[in-house]
Amino acid sequence: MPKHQLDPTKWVALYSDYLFNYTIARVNDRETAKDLVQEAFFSALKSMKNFKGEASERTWLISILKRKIIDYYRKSNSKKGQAEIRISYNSPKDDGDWLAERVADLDKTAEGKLENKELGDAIHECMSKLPEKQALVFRMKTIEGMDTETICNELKITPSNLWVIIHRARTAMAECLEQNWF
Amino acid sequence: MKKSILFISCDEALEICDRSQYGEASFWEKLKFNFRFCWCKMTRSYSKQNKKLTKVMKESNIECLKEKERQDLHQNFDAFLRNQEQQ
Repeated sequence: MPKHQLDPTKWVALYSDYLFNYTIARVNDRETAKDLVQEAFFSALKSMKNFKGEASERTWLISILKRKIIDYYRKSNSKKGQAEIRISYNSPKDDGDWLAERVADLDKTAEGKLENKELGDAIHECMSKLPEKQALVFRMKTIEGMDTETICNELKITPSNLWVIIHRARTAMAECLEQNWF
Repeated sequence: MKKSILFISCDEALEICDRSQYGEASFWEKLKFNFRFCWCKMTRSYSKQNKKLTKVMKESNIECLKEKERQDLHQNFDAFLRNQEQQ
């Protein structure tokens, strides 16, 4: 019997945020990221019979999404890449070690981005362990930055309720990140 | 029992601490919190952990789908799923 099984009815609820964050960190465009996540879900549905059950559902979905992201970059070809290479330097004095400086800058940016991606993964991992309502309220308040009144109206809860939920979620998140990140 | 003006319970302090992470604590609440912070070890420890979480969340630049976007994705996915099942 396979170690893992697929349940597509839960995919959007369980993995859409994780996949979206994974994608937006790589394509830097919200609309494109949404489309790629949707395409990945559709492709996954079509190829469910190929799932062997060795990897977890999420790992399998990520592998499909990665292929979608690669395809996206292939399609958008090298125009953007060429534009990025054209670095303008205002005065001839800047000529000196500009390449070395540029490479160092790129290294720093790449390192930062990689760390952010890993941190994003750790946060999503921890959020997926929260009870559904806590995860929802924490997401709306902390990530989407919605105001208290709007959340209370949408979820039909009182402000005191909201702060109790936030408190529980923050405590659980801090403990989880303590183990996985800090 | 008469409620003290400056003394607050630990639970109240933790709630103020949470609210201040989102800029929703008033000056007076912060003052009461700071008063408790001086002598309550638990408040200090929670505050430290809470600030760390806020910092990490900000640094991560994490993004997620908005509720409307999630609902749209759900609808599209359900329609696709039903379509697949019919085939």
